Amino acid sequence: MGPPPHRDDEVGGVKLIKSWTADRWIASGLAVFSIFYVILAYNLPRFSMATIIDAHVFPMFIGIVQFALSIWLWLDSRDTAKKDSPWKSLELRGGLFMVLLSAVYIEMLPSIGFIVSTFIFLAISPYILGWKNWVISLVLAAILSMGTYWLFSTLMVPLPKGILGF
Amino acid sequence: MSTLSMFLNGLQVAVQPVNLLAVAIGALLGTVIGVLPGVGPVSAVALLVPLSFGMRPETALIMMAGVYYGAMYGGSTTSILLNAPGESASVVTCIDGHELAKKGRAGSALGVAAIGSFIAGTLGVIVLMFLAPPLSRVAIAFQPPEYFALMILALVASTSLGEGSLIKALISMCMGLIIGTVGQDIQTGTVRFTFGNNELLDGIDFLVAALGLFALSEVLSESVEPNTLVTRIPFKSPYPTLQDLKQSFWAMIRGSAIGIFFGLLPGAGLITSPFVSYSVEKQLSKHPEEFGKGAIEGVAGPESSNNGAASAGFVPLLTLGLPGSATMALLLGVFMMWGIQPGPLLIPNHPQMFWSLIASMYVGNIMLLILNLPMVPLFAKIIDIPKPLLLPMIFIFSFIGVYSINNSTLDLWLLLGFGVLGFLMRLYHFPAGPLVMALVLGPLMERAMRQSLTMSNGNPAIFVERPISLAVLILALFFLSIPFLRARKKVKKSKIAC
Repeated sequence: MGPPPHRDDEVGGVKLIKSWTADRWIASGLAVFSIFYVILAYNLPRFSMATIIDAHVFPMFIGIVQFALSIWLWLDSRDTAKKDSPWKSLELRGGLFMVLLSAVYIEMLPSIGFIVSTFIFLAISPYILGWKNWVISLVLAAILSMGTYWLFSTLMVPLPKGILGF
Repeated sequence: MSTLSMFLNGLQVAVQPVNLLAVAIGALLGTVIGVLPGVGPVSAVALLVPLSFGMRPETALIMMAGVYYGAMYGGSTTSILLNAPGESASVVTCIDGHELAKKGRAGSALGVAAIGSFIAGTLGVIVLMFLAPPLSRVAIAFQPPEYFALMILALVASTSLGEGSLIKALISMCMGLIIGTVGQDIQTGTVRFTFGNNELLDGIDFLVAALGLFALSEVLSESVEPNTLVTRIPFKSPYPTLQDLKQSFWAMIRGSAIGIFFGLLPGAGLITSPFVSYSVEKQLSKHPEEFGKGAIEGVAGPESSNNGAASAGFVPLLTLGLPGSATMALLLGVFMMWGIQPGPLLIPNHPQMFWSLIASMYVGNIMLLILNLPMVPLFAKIIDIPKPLLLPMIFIFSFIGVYSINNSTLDLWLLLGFGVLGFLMRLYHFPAGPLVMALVLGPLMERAMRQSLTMSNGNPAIFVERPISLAVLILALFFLSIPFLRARKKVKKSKIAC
């Protein structure tokens, strides 16, 4: 199954890759991923009992299906004109900060405990997203961090206590 | 025992104060979370699952059913007032609902949606009550090959009927199946794809994926949107006029019937039925030109069919273990979390559970109508919470939800990963619903496949040699071909236009 004829074919390999649509990049990544997945599945330890269908069968099956689907996506996106990047009109700063702050939150959670880390998270993140009234965000952060802690401890779902004991 | 006496037994359980409270809290919280802009029913249900952890299984399931109804209802409020559908099923409600709201008739639209939902929900539960027990007696004869075929059908139907590209939906479904294979294999004990991490032995929890792909990614998408002004349409009372009701009554009944019919088909109902109902109403209407400009039937029909499908969807869920949407897949996961396997043995093995669930659905529907209708203006205020305050809260609730499953920080990292993945999937138009559905169904599907192949000594022909499984697979193939038929029709139309 070779690549279908493409307008940019004659221009040369580099140009060809540059003219790939986002879907083609995704399809290529997925194809590589599914090959790795199938290899991992193939190498799973086997049991030699004759009747049992072993643990590698289903993963290999879906891995091959995924590979076929990514080829299909690759071929299917050939005629789509290269569209504007969906990233263009986004303000990525807010989202990026949220992800970073979440990473810090997860990292700190076991050591400083639920209430303190949640308070910090809820106090800082509204500011990042453009909220300037500190009084409201601090009060809200205090109420929510302690309120949810109380709610979940009454429901007997333990949340991390941290070194301070709460 | 007759259906009626079983039902009365169930009613006794459902009206116990604890369970009544559970339905009320579930419906109320479901509505509140469902109203939040950008938070669809899937996220709402996923966010509220942890609240049920401390409860007895029956109470927990009753509450989650309430949450499900409430979330669907809350979603329609956002559609009408904000023109922001939380899921593909409410896209149709937006069309005329928002137009009505713009004309100052938000109250009529909201009221008709609530009443239509109530009628459809109640009719759906009646169908569920009478159809589920006999169907599960039939389904007892089903063997692994039939189940494998049915699960393929449910997955394929939910991908082919959604919006957007079929290939992308299939890829996302396959990814869900792949993620579902992580962890220790139950049959052989083989450890798969954990890369030496012992915390992954139990696999990746569906709630982690659902909260990440829906709640967290919704929040991330909102937080990178350039400051769009949210303009909610103010309104006073959520009550429709008598004229509205007269005009939309038959639309509600037709919508309910359509919804219930489609809801019974595994995987197909929730996505298709509102669209079907809308076009039916438009065809039957004496004033089809009003559709799209604020026709009350255009809200009543689709909203009823949406809820009819939501109730009738419990039939394949409870008797075959097949969810009709990502939200129902979450409910399936919740059932299994409590050690209850939906399928033909559910009703014989847990009759009390089944009948109390049914009874509580009636109660929940009534409660939703009398509790929520007067409170709609209050709920609508939730939409006004400024985004910078709201978004971090949803983050924290997702974190708590995930942490409370296994008390593991690894799950939190996975949640964040799924959040980013979901954000990227949104950006490149890969639907997340099929992934979550496949993640829940994957392990069940694998078991069915292996049992089938063991029955046939490894010969895959077993799936096409048995009449029922062959028929189901052909139906699945038919669903797969729908997008192609649609595409061809479009090409023809555009040629004629030229």
